This record gives sequence, structure tokens and C-alpha cells, in this order.
Amino acid sequence: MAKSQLKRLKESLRSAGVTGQQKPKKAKNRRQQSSDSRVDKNVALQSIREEFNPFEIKTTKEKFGIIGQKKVKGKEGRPGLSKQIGEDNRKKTLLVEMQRRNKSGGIIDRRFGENDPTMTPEERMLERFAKEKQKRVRGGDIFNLDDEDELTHLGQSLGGLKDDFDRGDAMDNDSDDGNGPTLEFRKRLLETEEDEEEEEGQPERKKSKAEVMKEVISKSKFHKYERQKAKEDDEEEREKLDAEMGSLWALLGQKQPSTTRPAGQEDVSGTNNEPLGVRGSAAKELEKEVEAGKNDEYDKAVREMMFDARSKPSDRTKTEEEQAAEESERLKKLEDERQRRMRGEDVSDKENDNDQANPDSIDDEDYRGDHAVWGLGEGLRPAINPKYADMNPDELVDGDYEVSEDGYVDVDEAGVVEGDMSDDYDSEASSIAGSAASGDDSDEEGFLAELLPGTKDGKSTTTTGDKLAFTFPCPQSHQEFLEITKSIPVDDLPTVVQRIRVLYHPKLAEENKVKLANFSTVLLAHILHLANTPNPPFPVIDTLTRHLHALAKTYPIPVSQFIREHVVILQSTRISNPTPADLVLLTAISAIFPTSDHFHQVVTPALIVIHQHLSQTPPASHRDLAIGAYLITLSIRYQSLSKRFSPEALNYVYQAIALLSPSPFAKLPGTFPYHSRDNLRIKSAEFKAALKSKTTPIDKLKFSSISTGSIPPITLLTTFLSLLSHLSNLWTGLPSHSELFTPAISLLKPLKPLSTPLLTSLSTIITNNLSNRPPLQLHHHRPLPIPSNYPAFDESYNPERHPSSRDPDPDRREAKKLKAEIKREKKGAVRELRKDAQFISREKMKKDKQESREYHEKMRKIIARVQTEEGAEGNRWEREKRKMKK
Amino acid sequence: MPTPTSTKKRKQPSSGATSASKATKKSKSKPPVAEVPKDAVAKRSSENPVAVTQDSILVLEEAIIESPKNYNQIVTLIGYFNDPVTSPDLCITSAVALCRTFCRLMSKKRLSKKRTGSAEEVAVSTWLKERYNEYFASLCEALEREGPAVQNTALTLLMRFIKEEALYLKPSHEEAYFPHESFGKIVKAVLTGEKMEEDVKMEWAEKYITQYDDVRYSFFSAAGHILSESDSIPTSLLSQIVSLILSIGNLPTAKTDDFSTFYALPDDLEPPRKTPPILSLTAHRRTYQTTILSLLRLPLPDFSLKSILNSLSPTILPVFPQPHTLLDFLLSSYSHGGVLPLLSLSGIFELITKHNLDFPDFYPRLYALLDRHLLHTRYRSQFLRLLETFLSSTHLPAQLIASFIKRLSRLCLSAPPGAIVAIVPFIYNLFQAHKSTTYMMHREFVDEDDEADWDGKDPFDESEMDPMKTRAIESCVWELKSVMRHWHPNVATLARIVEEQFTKERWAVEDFLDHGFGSMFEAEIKKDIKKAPVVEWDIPKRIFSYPPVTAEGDGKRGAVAPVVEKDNVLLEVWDFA
Repeated sequence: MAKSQLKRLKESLRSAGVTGQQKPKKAKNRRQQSSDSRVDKNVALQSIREEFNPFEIKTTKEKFGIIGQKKVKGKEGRPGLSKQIGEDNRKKTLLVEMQRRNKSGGIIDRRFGENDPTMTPEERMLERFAKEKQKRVRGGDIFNLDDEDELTHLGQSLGGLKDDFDRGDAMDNDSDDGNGPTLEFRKRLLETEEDEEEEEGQPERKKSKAEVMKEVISKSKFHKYERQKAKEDDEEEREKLDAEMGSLWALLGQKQPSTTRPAGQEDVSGTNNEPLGVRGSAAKELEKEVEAGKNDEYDKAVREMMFDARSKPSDRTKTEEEQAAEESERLKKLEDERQRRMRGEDVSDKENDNDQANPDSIDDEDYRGDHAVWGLGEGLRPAINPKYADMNPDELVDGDYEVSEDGYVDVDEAGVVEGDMSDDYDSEASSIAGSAASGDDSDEEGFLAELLPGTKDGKSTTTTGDKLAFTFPCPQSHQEFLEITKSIPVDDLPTVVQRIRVLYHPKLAEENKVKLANFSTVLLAHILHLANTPNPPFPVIDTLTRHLHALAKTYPIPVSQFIREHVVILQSTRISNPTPADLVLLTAISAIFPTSDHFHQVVTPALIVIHQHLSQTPPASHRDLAIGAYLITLSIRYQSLSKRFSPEALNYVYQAIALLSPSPFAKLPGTFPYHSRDNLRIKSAEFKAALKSKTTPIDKLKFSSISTGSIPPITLLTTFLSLLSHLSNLWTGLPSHSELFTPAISLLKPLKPLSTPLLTSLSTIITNNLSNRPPLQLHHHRPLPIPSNYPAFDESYNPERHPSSRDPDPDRREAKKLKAEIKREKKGAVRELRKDAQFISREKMKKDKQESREYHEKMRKIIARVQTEEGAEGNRWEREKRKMKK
Repeated sequence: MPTPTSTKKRKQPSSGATSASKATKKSKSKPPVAEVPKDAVAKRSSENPVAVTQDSILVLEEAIIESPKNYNQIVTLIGYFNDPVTSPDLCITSAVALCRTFCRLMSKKRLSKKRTGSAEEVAVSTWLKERYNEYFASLCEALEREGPAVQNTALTLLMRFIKEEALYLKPSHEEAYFPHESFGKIVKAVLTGEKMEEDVKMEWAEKYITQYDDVRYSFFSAAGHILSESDSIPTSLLSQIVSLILSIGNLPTAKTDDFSTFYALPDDLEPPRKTPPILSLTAHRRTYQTTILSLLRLPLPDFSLKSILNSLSPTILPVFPQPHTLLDFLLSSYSHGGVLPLLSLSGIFELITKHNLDFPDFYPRLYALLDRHLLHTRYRSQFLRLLETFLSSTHLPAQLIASFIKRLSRLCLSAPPGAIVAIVPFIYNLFQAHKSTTYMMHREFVDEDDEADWDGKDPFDESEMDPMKTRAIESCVWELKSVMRHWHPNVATLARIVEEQFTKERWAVEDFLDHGFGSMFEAEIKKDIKKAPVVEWDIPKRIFSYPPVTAEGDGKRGAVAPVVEKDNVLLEVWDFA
């Protein structure tokens, strides 16, 4: 319940001290002392009056109260009061400025105590005198440099240096520098005394800035002195230690290092005795150097002691079982990795690094391959020497053996001894030398073991060795290689390649890496070149391909880049009619790269090319069919591990069988695309004849027949039948195996006697698969939760807070706050400016009025005076006139 | 050869009688010249064309213009033009000269019969008209001559005549006159011209028919007549005619504004009270319709049919005033084998949706289109787009959708990767839209009886043509499971979407439609080798040949099995000796 107006008035009067209990006399006296106690009272009364004047208060009426809302700002205001305050403020600032406008100069009375009404004139005079005195004492302070921070060089004070040097002179010299500190000190003392005095007189007075600074400086000087002293102490201590060093060495039981100087010498130089600042800088440098050298010696000695090799047990030779276990472990790891790649999972980087570690160390990154090599090669038509025609590759390798005993190996053996190399030749060398192969090499060991015959044929070795040169330049383009091998029979090529690889082993010279990388592409180009010859020497190609494989391990990037480029050419120019070289290349890819990978930079494009041919080239001749059969074989070979599904291969087989079968089908089974064509069919008479004559398995297809084009259709048919059985075996696990191979049954029926075994096996597989096939259950997923939207509930809801400050985004909240503030400030500024303008005009008007009033007053006075004078004169004249009249 | 000289001679006084002004003009332009030498000149030049030069032709032209006495020279010029010995340059010059001559004569009204004219005047104009027609016919024949230059010139001159005729030979009672008869001759010459270059024809169609509304109308009415007399057109020309007609653009549809671009008719033509057919939109469209329909009655080659079907719904159908007249054609091509049904589908769809066509057994017929060739044709993506529209209705029975799903996944077993990539998201969308079909990819046994009944056989009946009776919904899409093991890594990965949880609302099939071996190969090759490719760690013992132990036995056949590496198909099947 609010108190009544009267009660509140009484209360406020009492609190203001106007009414109520009388103050004690003492206090009263004190108040009376101050001249304006009455003024104070009046002010208090005035404020109370204003407070209780209801016309002074302006309230904004609230229509509906909101529960929980905090008190609205500005609901109650005193416009009169605030206006008054504003007016006063303006009078203090704006008015002063206005009056001073367009005026310069003017004297401000800054005399001490002039504006302080509490001081008596005596006090003022006293104060002023003190100040004057003070100022005189401080005299030339302004230009005294001593107060500045000291200049330093290399952490040493320059002033200190100078002091030391000038010490002698300082005594005679009466310069300020010399006497500075003492004078200053005295000054400071005086000041502090004065300060104290002042403080007594005026306890509230703050220290001036200059005083504070002075204090700080003096403190820092004191600290510096202390530091210097501590340093000197340290030096002394160290000197003592240095002197004892000899005895310490003796304690350690070691001879004093010869490089350290004898103690006497140190004494002579006396380096450490004196403070550094005293000496010249050159001497200091020298000393430092010496010191550093000394420290190095010491550190070295300590380090030597720390890293003294401890004896370790040497590696035990592994037993055979352990080696086998390790080998099987390694194979298992490789197989695991392959499986992972097949599933398309990423091989983790770490493992990959391990894989690549060895090749990377040998492989040079900036490989500059000469890819234009392919296709340039011309001419070499290797007439196959009948003597070597059916020669065993083993004999060629005997040559290798010779080579390896011929001094090249020595170099390489050094390499083997030094580090574990995975490169192929090393392993060869090591296996030849009979040393135990490291784990990485053993896979190639097989290759070599095969190259190295169990039965050594000495004779052929010598013959080969005699004919062939032992050194060859490392060919960097296919052209060069053709030049080199011009006079060499084809069957010796593996030997040549072997020797080049030995000769330019990357261990032997730095640039060999690049050379061999180039050579690997040259080798591939040559393989393709050989494959395009009319009668390709396959044993040689075989060996060369395996050489290429070994090179590809070391230089995977150049080799695969070259292959990819070749595949691009194949795809863009002769996809419908690949050359034997292309087929050999695709075969080589299947041997060199892991074809089971989910994705592989080389294998995937090759796969696309194979299937594009199968899908988009309708067979028009028996040769086409043979190429198709070869590609299907490759496709099967590519998928032999991963057992992936290829619709194109199966389509092609079906189509080929339908095209080859003696009589056309009335209604084709299945859904494979079929381009009808009758010129490929086997004549039924021929078919029957073939069946009668050969009940035994019929010929295999000859690769050479692709280029010659003479292909017996019956062989083609049997090839496709066997491919069909391979496909069926490959895809036994596919859930739609029966759908895939049911058409085959009706396709094979007309070819009965020939296809009987295949038919029976197919139908058993199909029925087996069917009976085992469960219904498809692909979606054993956890059921998806239904997305639910709860209402957003603010746990810490506070109605007092402004909605904008309830924003959960702090950035947005801040931005909003700032915006509001800007708005508020802007409004305020506008309002202030407006009021300023009003004030200015008001003042101006006041001034004008004042001026005009003064003017009129003045005029009035003058006129009055004149009038009185005139009046007097007039009166006199009137009087005289009257007189005259009388 | 008629002898107009005598008539001209006689004409002179009479002309003076008819009108004074004309007489003065003529007397100025026709000084009396001896007739005999002119005849002689004409004869000489026609007998000896080798002597003809460009200048002499120009001289002759000047002479003809100068006086009617020299009209006989027209015959001489026509003689030059028709003479096969004349060089092409001279031929063109004479043709141009003749054209200019006739144009001037026309502008002087010499070719039009005057009602008030005397007998001589009539005779002269008749004779001139005959010469004109003769020349016109020979120009039409010239279209058959060798060389595009001559053909082009002849065609340009002919079109020029059309313009002149419309201007000067216009009968007084007709307000919008177009020389249909003369233009008909040109159209016939062009359409049936076997030796005429196709480029010239196309250019003509683009320059005149596409651009001018009156020419287009006249062309279609003429072409309609010519095509309805089907025996007059050699079959070898049919495909050319089709491509010519299809190349015509700017066709009027129901929404087209009134015609405004004219070739022969005056541009600021006041629309007459009764709209003549040449200005009427409906008449225009009707003539087009008649032309196309009579064209379709001809025995068109497959190639042309394909192009007609392709442009059917975008260009032809909107022009037709009665689109249902195309139904016969569409139905016959729908029941035709090969890719034609795929192409006619869009036309039929438009008829059904926009013109209220009742098409019985639409879905069974659509189902029948899913044959072994579908996924291997070029029109695969076009068909799939339409199929998506047809199957987008959620009111279709689940059996039907299941049949389509099963059929498409069956086709996947023999499809190229580009098609599989499109089909898999398509099927995904179908599964998503028709939840009851998801039974096909996830089926659990309800009870033991159900399990006992299961024999692993596919209940789906492949040979059943009615999609409602195939029992596909009882089957499972094992085919898609197989496709998940496709050789192409991306295809295999994409196929896995069927196996994963169906969180995506639908796939934009459009993004998957245009893939092929070429694009896939390019995508693979574009990826640079960043990481060194993995190399097989194991070097095989033999790649192309048998291990050395049996190397001697290479000659003998059959000594295979024991030494060959396991699973080495290459060596099992091929002989690399």
C-alpha cells in the first residue's frame, strides 16, 4: 500500500535534512563554515518540490498489463527535468563553443585555486608560491635525456660500456652525464619530500603522469643494477668451476681432450674474469668462438659416451620351417589384399605405402616415355632359324648364367649384400649366387628357377655365348631396339633383353632408372611388333612378356601408361577388327595385372574394349568368329578368380552357335541379340562327315589361323561349345544361372552327338541350381525409423528476455543486438542534433533580443538626453517668447 | 514455226486505230525492218550454235525488247537454250536473257489477252503465250540437266516467273491470285526430277516453301495431286521426297496467326470478303494433311518411315486438322516388326492423351515390345522415356508392373552395360512407386507349407503375352542379383542400389539413359594414373605356351591335361604353336 502524499513529503524532508532532529553543534558549525549551506538547503528543497509536483511527472498509461513482463523503460518520465538537464549540458558545451566561435585567443585563468571557492585568498597565495618554487626547482628537466630508456647493443647497455671506458675521465669531467645520477637522485629526494608535503596538505591529490614515469624509471634502474651484480656473481662462480675442470676429468677417468686449452692459458687470457662489457667487440667475438668450440668438444664427448654401441645379438639363421611359414604368411597376405581389391574395398594407405615402398625407391617419378615408338618399327622379319625353331627356352637361360658369371654380377652382388632389393635381377643374381633370397624376391625366384635349367647344357651355352655380344646400348626407342636386334635371331632376344637389364640395372648408375623405364615400353612395343609378324614366335613372346612383367613391377606407371595408350588406339580405330598384336596385348594384360580387381586402371579399359567388340561386332566371317572366340577366352581368363558376369560373352557364344549350326532355328530361345546370316553355317554333310571321322576330341583352334584366315568351322563350333561349358562352370554360383543357360539346351539339341556331354552336364547343373535356389531376400535391413518431429521446447525459457536474445544462434543474436544498438544510437543522435539546433536558434534569438534591447535602451537614453536638453532649450525659448509677448 | 511477222505487219495500223498513245509508242519502238534477213539470221544462228557468244545473245535480247518485229528472235534464244551442245555458261546467259525478255513483255501486258484487242493483237499475244509456255516447260526440263549451277539458275528463273505471273497475268476478278498451274509444273519437276541434285531441292524448300505462306500452300496442293497419282513417281525418289517434305518448317498449327509473308501475293493484301483458300489457315492445314496422307499411302522404304515417325509428334501432328486420320498409319507401323513400333509409340501416346483415342490392349501391346532387340537398338533411351511415362500411374495393377519389372530384368541378362545402367534405376523407381512389387526382391516364407511348396523354379512365364497373367509377382528378380556381379565395376556398383535400403524417393532415369561403351571407355581413360597400378605379384609359369616338359609334345594333339595350369582357359582352348 502506497504511503500518502503527506507522509512521503515528511519523509523526504527528513532525509534531506531540512526538518527533523537538529544536528549536533559541531557539525552545524562545520556546515556554517562552508559559505553555501543555505544554498544547499535551497537546492534540496527545490528538488523535493519538483519531485512532489504531479505536473512534472509524465506517465504513459498501460492498456493491458502483461504478466511476467519486466518494467517497461520510459513508462514514467520527467520531461521537464530531463529537458533542464539537456539545457544545462548544452549551456556548458554548446553555448561555450558558440560564444567562442569565430574568435581566437582569449586568456583562460588557470591560476591556482582561482576557481575554487573553498580556498581563502591566503591559501591561494601560499599554494601559488609553492608551485612557483617547484617549477623553478624542476628547471631544465624537459630536455634531460637521462630519463630516456637506455640504448643497448647485443643486450649490453651502451651507456654501461661508455661508463666503463670513461671511468678515468669521469672524475675530472663536470659534465651532466657524469653527475647525472647523483643530481637526479637528489632531485628525486626533494620531489618526494615535496610530494609528501603536498599529500599532507591535500590528501586526495593524484600523482601526475610525469611523477609516475619517474618512479618507474628509477625502479628499473635499480633492478638493472641488481641484475648486473647477479651476473657478475655467476661469472665468478663459473670461473671457479672452470678451474676445477681438470680434477673433474681426472674423476671421470679420462684424459683431458687435447683440444681443450691448458688451464694456464685460460688464466692468461683471463677471459671470464672481467665483465663482457669491458672488452672490445672483436675480442669478444673471438672469445665466444673459442668458448663455443670448447662446448662442442665437450658435447661431442658426452654424446659419444651416450651413443656407445651396445652389443646386440645377431640375427639367427631361420630354419626351413620358419621360412616356409613366413612364405605362406606372405602369400596369405597377398591373397587377402587381392580379395579386398576384388571386393572393391580401398586398400588402406599405409599398406599401400608398404607395397609401393620398394618400387618407389627405384622408380624415378619424372618418367619421360617415348610413346610414339609404337608403330615406327618396320622391317625386322625374323627368319626363324630352323636350328632354334623348337629350341627350349632353357638353353637361352644358360646364356644368362654365363653372363651372370661374367663380372656383371660382381657389381650386383655388392648390391645384394648391401640392401634388400626387390628388383628382379637382384633376385636372379642372388639365386645364382646361391644366397638366400629375401621374402620379396622369392616370387621371381620361381620365374628364374624355371629359366635356369635343372640340366645344364654346356654346349649350347658356349655357342650362344660366342655369337652374342655381351654389351648392348640401352635402347630408348623401338627404332633403336630394331637396330640392335637386326642381326640377332629371334630366339636370342630373351638373352639380349636379359643382358640389357643386367647392364643397366638401376643400382649401377643414377640415370639407369629412366633408361630402364623407357626400355620397358620399348620391350612392349617389340612384343607387339613380334606378334604382328605372320608367324609369331610364341615361346619368345612368352619369355619377353615375363620380362615385361618383371619390369612392370618396378616401373608400373610407364608400362601401364603405354598399355593404356595402346588400348585407346585400339578402341578408337580398330575395335571391330583387332590385330593379333592387340590380342597378344590383351593377353599380356591378363598376365601382368591382377584382373580380379574391382577396378584397375589398366584392366578395366581393356575389359571394356573386349566387351565392346563382343557386343558391337556382328560376326560376318569365320575369322570374326575366331577373334570373338579368342576374346571370350580372354574374358573368361580375366574373370577366372572374380567370376564376374558378362552378358556379352554369353550372347556372343549363343549367337555363334546359332550361326554355325547346320540348320537355322525356327524360333530362337533366350533373349540374346541375333543378326541372321547364313554364310557361316556348317554344311550338314560336312558336319556329319566330321562326326563320323572324329569321335575323339577335335583340334584346338590355332592362334595363327586368325591372321591366315583358314579356320575349319567345325573346330570353331567345338571351341564355342567348350567356351560355353567354361562359362557355365564359371558362373555356377550366379542365382540366375538356370535362366542364363536354359537357352543353351535348345540350341545344343540339333548338334546332338557332338554336344551330348555338354548337354548332360548343363542340364544337371541347371536342375541342381534350381533346386537349391532360395527366394530372393535382399532386404534384411533394420526398418527405417519414421521421422518424428517433436515441438522445439526451450528448457530455459525466460519471458523477461527479449525474443531476439532467445535466438539459439549466437552469431545471429549478436548481430541483432548490434543492429538494435545502431538503430537506437542513430535515433538518439538525431534527437540530440535536433535539440541542439533548437537550442542554438533559441540562444541566437536571445542574443538578438538582448542586443536589440540594448540598442533601444541606448537610443532611448540618447533621445531622452537630447530631448531633455532640447526641451530645456525649448522651454527657455518658450519662456523668453512668453516674456517677449508680455 | 509460226510466222508472226505477217501478223505484226498487219497489226501496225490497227494498233494505231485503237489508241493514239499506244500507237505513238509502238511507232517509236518498231521501225519497219525487212523481215527476210531476220529469218535468215535466226536460222543461221540456230543451225550454227557454236558461233553464239554472250554478246550476240545480249544483242538479240536488246533487239527483241526494242521492237515487236524481232519477236521471232525469242524462238532463236529458246533454241540456244534447249540446244544440248550449248555450253552451260551460254545456256545460263540465254536463259537469263529470255527471262528478262518475258518479264518485260509481261510488264507491257503483251502476254495477257485484252478483251478489246483486235484479232492481230490477240494472235500476237497468243503466240507469245505459247512461246512463254514452251520456254517454261524447257526450264522445267532444265532442272534435270547436269550441274547444280544450271539447275539452280533454272529454279530461280522459274520462281521469278511465278512472281511476275502473279503480278501481271492476274485475272481482274480475282483478288488473291497465285499461279497455281505454273507452280504445279515446277513442283512436279522438282519432285519427280531424278537427276536433280538433292541439295538444290533442299535449298529451294528452305528458301521458298518454308519461308512464304502462299508458296507453301501451293506446294502442298500440287504435291498432294502428284503423290496421289502414285505411279508417276519412281520408288527410288520416295525417300528424297519424304526428306524434302519433312524439311519444310514453319508449318501452320491451330495456334498460328494469319498469314503475312507472301512471295507472289502483294504484301499489303486487303483480306477479301470471302477468304480464298490460299489465305485460310484451315485450307492450308487440310492440304498438308492430304499431302501427308497420300504420301503415307505410297510404298515408303523403312528408312523414310522411321524419319516420318520420328517427326510425327513434334511437327506433323500439330498441323493436322484431323489427327485421327493418322491412326491407320500408326497402327500398321505399331504392328510392324523391328523398331517401328517403338517410334510410333509417341504418336499413339499423343493421340490417346490429346485426341481421346481409344486404344484397346495398350499395355499388353506395350509389353510385347520388350523383345530381345529392344535394349540393343538406338531408340532404347527414347523408348524408356516413354515407358516411364506409361508406367508412372500408381493406379496400375501390381501384377502388370511386376511383369514389366521381371521382363526388363530378364532382358538385363543379355543387355549391354549402357542399357543395364538405365534399367536398374528404372526398376528401382517402379519398386518404390508400387510397394506391393517389392515382394519380388524380398520374399520370406509365410509358413511351412509355403516353404514346402517352393521348388526353386521361376514361376514367371516368359512366353505369356498378357502381362496380367505372367505370374511375375510370384517370382523374384534373381537377374538383378546376377547383375550385381557384372564385369564393369560401375554397373555392378549401381546394381547394388536394389540391395540397399530404399531411402531415395526416385532416381532421375534421364541421367542414366545416354551411356554406351564409348562413353564408358572414355570415362575410364580420362582418369589419370595417380597411384601406381597394382601389378600381379605372381609371374605365371607360361602364358602362351605349355611348360617345357610337354613342349616337345606340341605337335601331338590331345596331350593336354596334366601339365596345364589349373583354370588356364587360354591354353586349354587355343593352340599357339
